[in-house]
Amino acid sequence: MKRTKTPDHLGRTIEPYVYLLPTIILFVFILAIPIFNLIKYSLGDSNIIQGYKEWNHFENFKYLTNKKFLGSVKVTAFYVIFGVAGVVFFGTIMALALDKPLKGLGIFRAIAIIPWVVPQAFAATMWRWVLNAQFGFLNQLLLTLGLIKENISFLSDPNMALATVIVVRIWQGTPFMIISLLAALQTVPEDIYEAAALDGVNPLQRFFYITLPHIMPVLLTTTLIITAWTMQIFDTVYIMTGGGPARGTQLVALEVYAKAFQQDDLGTACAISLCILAMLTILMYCKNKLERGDNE
Amino acid sequence: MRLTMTQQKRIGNIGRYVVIAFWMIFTLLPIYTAFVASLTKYENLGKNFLYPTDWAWGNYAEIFKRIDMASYLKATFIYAISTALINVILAVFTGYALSRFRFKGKGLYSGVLLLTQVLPQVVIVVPVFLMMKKIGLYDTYGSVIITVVATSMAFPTLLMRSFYDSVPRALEEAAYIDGCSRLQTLFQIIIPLALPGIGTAFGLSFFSGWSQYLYPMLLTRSAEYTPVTVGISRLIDNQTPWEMVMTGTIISIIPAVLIYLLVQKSLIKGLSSGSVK
Repeated sequence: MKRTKTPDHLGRTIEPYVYLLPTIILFVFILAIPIFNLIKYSLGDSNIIQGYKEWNHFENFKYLTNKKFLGSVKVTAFYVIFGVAGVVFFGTIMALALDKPLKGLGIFRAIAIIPWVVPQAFAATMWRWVLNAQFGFLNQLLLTLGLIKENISFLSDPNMALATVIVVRIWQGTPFMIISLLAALQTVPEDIYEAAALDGVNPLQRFFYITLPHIMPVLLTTTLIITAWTMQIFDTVYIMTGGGPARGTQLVALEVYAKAFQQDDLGTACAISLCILAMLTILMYCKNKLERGDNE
Repeated sequence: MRLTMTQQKRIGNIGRYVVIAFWMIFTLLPIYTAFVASLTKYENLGKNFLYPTDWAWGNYAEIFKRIDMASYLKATFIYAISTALINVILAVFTGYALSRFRFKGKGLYSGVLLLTQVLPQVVIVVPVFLMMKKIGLYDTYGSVIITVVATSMAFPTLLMRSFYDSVPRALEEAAYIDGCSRLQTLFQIIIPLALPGIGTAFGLSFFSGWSQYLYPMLLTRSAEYTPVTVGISRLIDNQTPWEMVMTGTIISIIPAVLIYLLVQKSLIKGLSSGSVK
C-alpha cells in the first residue's frame, strides 16, 4: 500500500494536536513520569514502600555485573534466540504451506492463528498440564507407546525447563509470523512463478531465488517485532516455572519482578529496567532504519 | 525423468498436508488436553488421557463454587470491554491525525507509539505501582485500565491509520467543497468506510484487555478486581486440582476464541494491511 503525500492545504494547524491530546496526557502519565521515576529509583537506595530514600553511589548498577544476573542474561539470550529462530523457521514453513489454494485451507488458517488469542497465562496453565510429570498427556502418551520407561519431569531439570518454555514461546509466537508472511506472499507476482516453472526451477531454488527476496522486508521487520515481544514475555514463564528450577528459566523480566516485589530491592530492579530500555531502543532504531531503507 | 507440473503439484500438496497436519496437532494439543482434563474427575486424571471418559460436566459447575469464578470473569470482562472501547475511541482520532496531517513532533510521537508496543510490562509496572499507590488509584479498575490502554493503544491506532490511508482523499475534498466541517467529514464519510478497521481494532483491544495478568496482579489487591488469569493460576500449587484449573482455563479462553473465529476474516485482513506497510 502506497502512502500518498498530505496536500499542503491540510497542513499546519493545531488541529492534529487536539486529536492527539488525550493520548499525549496518557503517555505523560503512564510513560514519561514512570520512566523518569525509574531513573530516580535506580540512582539510590529505594524500596517499594518508600520509593527513593538516598543516593548510594551507583550501588544498584553493580548487580548488573553480578554472576547471578549474568546467568539470567544468558538464559534470556537462549530464550530469545531460540524462541525467535523457531518462530521464523516454523512461521515461514507454515506460511508457505498455507499460501496457495488447498482443500480446507480456510479452517487450517483459522486454527493456526488460535494460539495468538490465547492469553499467555492460559498458554502456561495448559502446557503445564500437557507436560505434567505425573499425569500429563505427553508422559502418558510416551509411556503407552513404550517410548519411555519412566516419567519425564520436563520442568524439574533446568535445561529441559528452558527448552520447554522455548517450545511454548514458539507455539505462541508463530501465528503472528504466519499472518504477516501470508500477507507478504500475496505480493509475489504469479507470473514469475510461471516463468520459473517453464525454466524448470526446482522448489528449493524457487523459494530461495524468488519467494524469499520478495518477502524479505516483511520477514525482517516481523522478526524484529517478535524479538521485542519475546524479550517482554513474563506471564507464561512466571506461571510455568517461576524462573526455576535453579534459576534455569530466570529471564531478566522475572529478575526485575523478583528484585522489586520479592527481595525489596527497588533500586536494582530499576537499574535492570533501564538496561532493558536501552536494549529495546537500539532494537527499534534498527527496525526504523530497516523500514526507511525499504521506502527509499 | 522430469515430472509434469500436475504431478509436481500433487506431490507438493501431499507434502503441504503433512506439514499442516503436524502443525494443527501441535497447535491444538494443549487446548484438546485441557478440554479432556476438564471433563475428568480428579481421581481419574492421567488414566484416560486420549479422550474424555468421565464426561464430568459437573466440573463446570464446581469451579464456580470452588473459586470466585463469576467475580473473576466479571472483572476480566470489564477490563476487556473498557480497553476495547477506550482504545477504539483513541485510535479513531489518533489514527486520523497520523494519516491526514503533517505536524511537528510526528516522528517523536510515532517513536513513542513504537516504544509502548515493545516496552516490557514488568518494566513499566514497577514505577506505575508506586505512582498508583501515591495518587490513590491503587486497587481500582481504573489503575489497570489506564495502564493497559496506554500500553496497548498503539496497535489499533496504527491499524486505523492504515485504514484511513486507504480511503481516497477525493471523497473528503468533495465533502469540504459541499461545506462539511472536518469532523462531519470524519464521521459521515471516512469512518463508515473504515468500519472494518474499527471492528478489527475493537477485537484486538478486547484480546489485550482479556489477557491481562501482571498489571491486575500488581495494581489491585481486592478479590473483586481479580481477573480469571490471576484467579486460576493461583490454584496451582503442590496439590494442584488440575481438572479445576483446566475447566477454568477452557471457560476463560472460549470467549476469546469464539470472538476471534467470528471476526477472523476481517481481523487477518486488517492485520496484514497494517503489517505489510
